[in-house]
Amino acid sequence: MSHARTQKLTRIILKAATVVILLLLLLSEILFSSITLFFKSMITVIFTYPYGVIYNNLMFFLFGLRGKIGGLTLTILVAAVSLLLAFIAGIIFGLMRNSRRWWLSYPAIGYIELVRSVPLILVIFWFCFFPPGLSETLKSVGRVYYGIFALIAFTGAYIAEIVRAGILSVSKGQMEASRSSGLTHTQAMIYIILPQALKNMIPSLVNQFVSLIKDTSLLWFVGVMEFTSTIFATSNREVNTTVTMGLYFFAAVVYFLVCYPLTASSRKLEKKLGVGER
Amino acid sequence: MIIFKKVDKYYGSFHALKDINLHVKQGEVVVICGPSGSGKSTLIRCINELELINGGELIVDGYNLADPRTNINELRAEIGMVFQQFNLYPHMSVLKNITLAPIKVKKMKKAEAEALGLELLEKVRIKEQAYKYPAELSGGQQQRVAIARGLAMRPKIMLFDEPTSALDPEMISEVLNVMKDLAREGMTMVVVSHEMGFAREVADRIIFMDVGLIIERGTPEHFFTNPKDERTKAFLNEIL
Amino acid sequence: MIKKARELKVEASILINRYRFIFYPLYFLAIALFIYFVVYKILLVNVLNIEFNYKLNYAIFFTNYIEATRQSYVDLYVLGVITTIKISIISLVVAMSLGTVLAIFRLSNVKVLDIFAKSYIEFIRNTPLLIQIFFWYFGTDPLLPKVFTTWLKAQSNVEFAYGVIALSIYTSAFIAEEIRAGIQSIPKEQMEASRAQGFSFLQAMRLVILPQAIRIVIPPLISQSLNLTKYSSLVMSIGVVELMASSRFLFGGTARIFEALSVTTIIYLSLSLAISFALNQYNKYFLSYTRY
Repeated sequence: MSHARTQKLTRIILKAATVVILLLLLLSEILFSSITLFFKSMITVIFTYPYGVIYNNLMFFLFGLRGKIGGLTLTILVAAVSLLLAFIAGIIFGLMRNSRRWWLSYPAIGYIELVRSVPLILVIFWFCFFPPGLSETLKSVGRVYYGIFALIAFTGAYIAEIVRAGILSVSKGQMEASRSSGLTHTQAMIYIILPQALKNMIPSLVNQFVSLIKDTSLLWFVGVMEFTSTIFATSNREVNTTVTMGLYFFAAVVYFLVCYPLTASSRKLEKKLGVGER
Repeated sequence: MIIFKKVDKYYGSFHALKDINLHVKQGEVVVICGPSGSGKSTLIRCINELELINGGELIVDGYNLADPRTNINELRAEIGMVFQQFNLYPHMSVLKNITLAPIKVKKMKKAEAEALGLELLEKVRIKEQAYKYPAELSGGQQQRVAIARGLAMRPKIMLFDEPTSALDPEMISEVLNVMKDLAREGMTMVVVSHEMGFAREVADRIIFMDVGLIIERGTPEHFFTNPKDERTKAFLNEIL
Repeated sequence: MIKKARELKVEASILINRYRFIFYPLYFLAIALFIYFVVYKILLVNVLNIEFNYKLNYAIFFTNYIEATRQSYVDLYVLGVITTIKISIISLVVAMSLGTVLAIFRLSNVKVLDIFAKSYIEFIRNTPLLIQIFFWYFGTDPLLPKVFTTWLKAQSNVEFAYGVIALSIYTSAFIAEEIRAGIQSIPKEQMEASRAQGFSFLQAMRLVILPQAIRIVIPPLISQSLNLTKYSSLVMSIGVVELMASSRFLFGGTARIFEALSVTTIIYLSLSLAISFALNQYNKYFLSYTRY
């Protein structure tokens, strides 16, 4: 390469480098100033926030209106009851799904696929609006019960898939070994396959419980007074947007404090099970 | 005891067993060998109907396996089976692994079953491991537990599907010794194995299979000294 | 005799299998009749005295939703479906890019980035989407410059923008975890083997690890986009008119709940089936060739 060409190239590179550096400086200036602005406003918010709003309504958030169950208590209660019943439904449908008899497996497949492909709100709307419109007796049942039924129907389908995967995760040799020692299919399922499958399923079930706790917030759409609704109702009374922001952040933190320990423990369990089994 | 009459077995269009004729008498020890994919595992799994046969007749201990009315659980209770991968139940202790079937199928009392279990564990020489879990045992010990589990139903026939293939070499002999004891006691045994030393010592008959056919059959002397078929010779050259 | 019985059984099963398109509907019909007569007629009507008087009327879809503009409910539904698809795709693209960046942060050796990404992911994953939507829509004003917020509020589809922000931030946390898990699921030996052959770290990543990881990651990413489509229905809480909102307008205005919800169910079902069909095709054509 000739000397002149090298010089020309160097000059071009130098020019380009200057432009790039200037651009980077500008960009970092913008970035830096916006970040400082953001933190400044955040600090202002933290120091000037009227924490009284949260403190005064704390009982409302945790227990709901006086004389009724509501707030965070209702959220956890609904989630726990739904999980328990959905677990039973899930085992039944999971076993049906695994069955080799088509008249057992087809309805299970239909139910699972249908529920898994629609949003939860749709299921909640089906349960909360359709039956009460049919007759006076059904109208008198509280919204929250329909909501629980919707959550069971929704979560049951997901748990059925977990159960199915759990059963499939137990090696085929276990079934063969128990069948060849004379146990019937049902006996082998109860004593050999399900205990092992259940152990493998625990982490997924805990995760499902976390989803369920988060999903109970959707009962806000049908006016059940659970945690999200209490927050929403309080923030609706406030004009100040700073207060609103704090309320929703508080709600997020509370949900996080409830859910994260469960998530963490399920992950720990998963690791333990992964190492324990081969 | 076990009679195969023109048995055929298909996996889809794959012809896994072709026209199998075989008669295993009471107290006989039959060793089946052959290259992988030759159908030996399929053959042994047909005996307790882990695989269904598609043609011919298979009569085991007077039960006709071609008859849909045969109570297969009744038959299976009389046949013990040991697998290559042990297939112990990982969530139960060794003793529970053994006593489960006697308690649930034979409705044996728990104490009685446990006494039986300990007796069997003594027989396979690992009585001291009774309350451990399968994952805590070595491969050879696990396989001996599996044998004890197979024996727990007081079976008339024992099936072994490559019982030593998944074991480390130094553990093979401890499992084979237990199997030799069993053979000496007069148990009817069908063994899929490549352990030719074992075959020479205890087998009454050796069967060589390839591509779903029985190619060679005879006493160990005949089998090892003057095999007729070329494929048997090639196989023996490779394995000995 | 014995053989006869067995053959008959086999023949019967072959027949049932051959004519299953007749047998299966018959079977479902039988279940429906059973439910209608035993559960409804006997249990509900005669024992509990509950009787339903609900006449289906799908013609309601063709009545006008707004008289002045002559928009029918069909138009409303079409608008809803388009909005649902639009918000899902836009959010998916944003969430993918955010998620990739987060996954790189998680895998990098820089401690600060790792901790930042980890706490972001954990916080987002353990909070309900609805709360997040409310937070972004109702609560972010005091954090932003006043000029910007006033300009924003003047825009016509500001709800849509907030919906995209909430959905993509929520989904990015899930996508980041999927990508990280996919990359980490490649055995260490792969990296060691390729480094031993003389590849640099980046080369090994680009030539050996990533091609394997992408094949593993794509199926969970598709199922995440399915989740995103379903969860996009939550943005109706801040007034975006997507599919769920259209159906609520319909049954809110006319009280035809069954008609509104059944059509919505079918639309969501076909959207999901289309996505799972894509997933199955992917599994069939790509995964079958990449077994090693």
